[in-house]
This record gives sequence, C-alpha cells and structure tokens, in this order.
Amino acid sequence: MNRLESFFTKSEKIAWRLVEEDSVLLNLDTGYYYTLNEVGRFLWESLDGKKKLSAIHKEILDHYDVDPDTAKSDVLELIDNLLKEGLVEIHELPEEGLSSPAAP
Amino acid sequence: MNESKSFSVYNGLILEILRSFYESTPVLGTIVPLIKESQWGDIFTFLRFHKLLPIAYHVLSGSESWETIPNDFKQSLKQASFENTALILLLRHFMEIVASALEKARIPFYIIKGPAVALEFYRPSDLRPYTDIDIVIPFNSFGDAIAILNDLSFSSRRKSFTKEYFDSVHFSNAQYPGICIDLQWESVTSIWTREPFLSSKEVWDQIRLLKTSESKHIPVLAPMFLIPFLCTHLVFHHPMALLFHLMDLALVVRDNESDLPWDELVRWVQYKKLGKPVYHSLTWTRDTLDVSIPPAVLDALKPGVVERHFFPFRRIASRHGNMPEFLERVIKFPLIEGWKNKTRSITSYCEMFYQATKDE
Repeated sequence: MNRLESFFTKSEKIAWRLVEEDSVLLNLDTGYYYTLNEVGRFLWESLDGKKKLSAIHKEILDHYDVDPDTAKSDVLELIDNLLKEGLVEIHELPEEGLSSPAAP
Repeated sequence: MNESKSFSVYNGLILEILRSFYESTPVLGTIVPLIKESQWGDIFTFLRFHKLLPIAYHVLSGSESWETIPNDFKQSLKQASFENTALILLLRHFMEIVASALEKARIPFYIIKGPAVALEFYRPSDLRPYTDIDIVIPFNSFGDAIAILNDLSFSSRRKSFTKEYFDSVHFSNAQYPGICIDLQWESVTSIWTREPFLSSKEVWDQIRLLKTSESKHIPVLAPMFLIPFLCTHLVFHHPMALLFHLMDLALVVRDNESDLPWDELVRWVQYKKLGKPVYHSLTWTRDTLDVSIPPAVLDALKPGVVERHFFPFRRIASRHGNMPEFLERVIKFPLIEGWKNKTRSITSYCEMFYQATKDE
C-alpha cells in the first residue's frame, strides 16, 4: 500500500499526552512509551483517518521551514516506526464518522 | 516570609519554581544567571527528591531563562518529565480498570493522594507525580477487593492484615512491575487513636464524584476532609514532608478558599486531635507560598509556644535527602496529642514491625 496515499488512525491501545512541545505515547498493552518532538507531534495529532499522509506532509511544509524531500523521508520514516510499534493503523480509504481525539 | 532561610544556597530558584507554578507567573529572569554551573547537579537531585521535576520542567521550559540553563540539566529534566508522564498514563489506565471493577462489584471506595489530587487540582494534571494508586475501601470489603485485584493480575506478598492499625496493603502486577495499587481502610492516625478518620461515617457520607473524562468519574474526599488528610499525611507519612505535598495542600486550599467551612474543619480537627499536624502544615504553606489561611484557624489550632518555635518541621521539610526512619519517628512523636495516644503509637509500631518481620 502506498503510504503517502493512505489514511492513518491512532491505535486504540495508545494513551498519549502533551509534554510542553513534545508528546509522550504509551502502548497500554506493553507498557512501552515513545516520545515525539514538535514536528512528530504535529503529524501524530493529524492522524485522524480522514487525511492522506501526503496531505499531512503538505501541512508540515506549510507550518515548518523544512526541505520538502527531507520532510517527506522523515514523515515516511516516522510512520513506518509507528506502524512497526503498533501505534497506528493504516487504511486504504478514509475513516468515515471518526472524530479525532482531542489533545488530552 | 521567613521560609527561605531553610532552603540552602539555591533557595531562590526552588522557591521561584514553586511560586511560579502556584501563581501561574513566569520565573524571574534574574535568578537563573545567579546559579553556578556546579550547582545544577545538586538542584536536580533536590528537585527529584522532592518530586518536583515535572513542575520544574514545565515552569523553566516556558521561561526566558531556559536558553541559559546548561543542556545536561535541561535534557535530564525533560527525560524525567517524559518518564513521569508515561508512568502516570499507565497508572491512570489501571486506576480506571480497577475503579470500574470495584463499581461493578458494588464495593464502596474512593481514591486518595496522587491521582485524586492531580486530576482535580493540577493543570496539567500530569505534573503531579505519583507511583501508585491509593484506594480506600471499608475493611469489611477487603476480601472481595482482594479477589478483584487478583483477577486483574495484582497480588500482594502480605499474608495477614491487622484491622486496628493503618494498613496500606501493597499490590503489584507481575506484568507491569512499576504499577502498584495500595488498598487501605484508614489513615496513619489509626496507629495512635481508635478515632476513625478515613473510615468515619462523615467522610464516607461526603465523598464526591470527580469527573475525569466525558464518561468517567472517580470518588474522592471532600475538601473539608482532604485538607486535614493532606496535612496529616504531609507531617506523618514517611518520608516526612516533601515539597510536592506542600504544593498539593496549597492548591487544594486555594481552589476551595471561598467555599471551605473553616469553622467546621477546625472543630473536626480538634475533635480528632489533629491540631498540631494541621497547624504546622498550614503555616508552612502560608509562609512559603502566601496561601491565604484565615488567622483564626491557625490561632485555634496553634500548639504551645515552645513547639511553635522550636519544632524543626521546616528544616526537615526542606531537607536534601532521606533521614533515618527511627530518627524521623522520634521527631514526629511530639506531634501525637496526649500520652495515651503516644503510648499506643509505640505499641502499634512494635506490633506492625513484628508482623512485617513475620511475613518476610
């Protein structure tokens, strides 16, 4: 599946909090926790199942002063890691009726 | 304002962090440049001991001084805040599971200390560290509660429990070694008096439901009882009086200032013979953070002149590390009112020590 053209949702077994500019994600099944920096947090908060990853990439370019290619490879690397750790789920189609969890 | 005398060389920064958080004001930019490079390590140790690392990170990272603070200190502070948040997320998850199971089994309970205070009074709530979930239940529900915790993979190494004394029974989870649940039915006061506190009818009758999310509530103490409980806990619990307990008390008093039935609280505290710990805790809170405590309350509770001036409470409360437990108990001893209660406390400690040794 082409990840940039896919939709992503946060896994239900994840609890997360903002810690100043960063985020802490906790896998409730394993007890392992992960941290995301400000840009990673932006991506994480954008994973609502309604936007393609390519749209999120574009939003990152709009918000941060980063090189588009570097941003793309960083976004793909982060989403791969999130998938590998079971923190997000990938969907071919947008998730209708989903509401993005508010920042806790 | 004489509290700063007891805060050692970097008292200014520590007090500034506490006040900045309490008053939601920025840290003064004049203080950080005065800290010597060699002092940051000690400051970190002090903040960790007093469980103030998340508050310090929150306050300092939002200040103009942040850029001038050594990187090692900033990274350590940030890492400690991440770890604290992760642990709290996990503890809250288990608190909700256990609370839901107790509700389903119709076992009355309420949550005290860390999670209850954090969720109601701290903004953000994750800045208040805690390492376990303290649940109060009636003693006669203890067997049922143990069965529920066992079903949820929590177990205790304790083999026997004494109803007479404060008994916080510790349950841990083999899969999540850092997650602990303490079941208790009384406060530390039961070591020296048979007069109920946490188990008293008036406390149970006034339990409130605190909304924790859209659909979830947890039962917690009413402020009228929460304040004496925090004061007693602050003074008597081991290790005595860490600074985050001071912040707990300050926030609870401030947020309930206009509604608190102080007269009723004083009467109740006097009846329960808890005047000394409540007096010392409230005056310390007032002097350190300018918390508004009605003078009449302190007048009504104040101990004798010798104890007011010579009891080393503030020195102990702002210390830099643990002290021997025996010494701590000796220092606390005068705070127990009446020789009958004092005598009972000695007997209780001996019995509890014997019981613990037997269990091991």
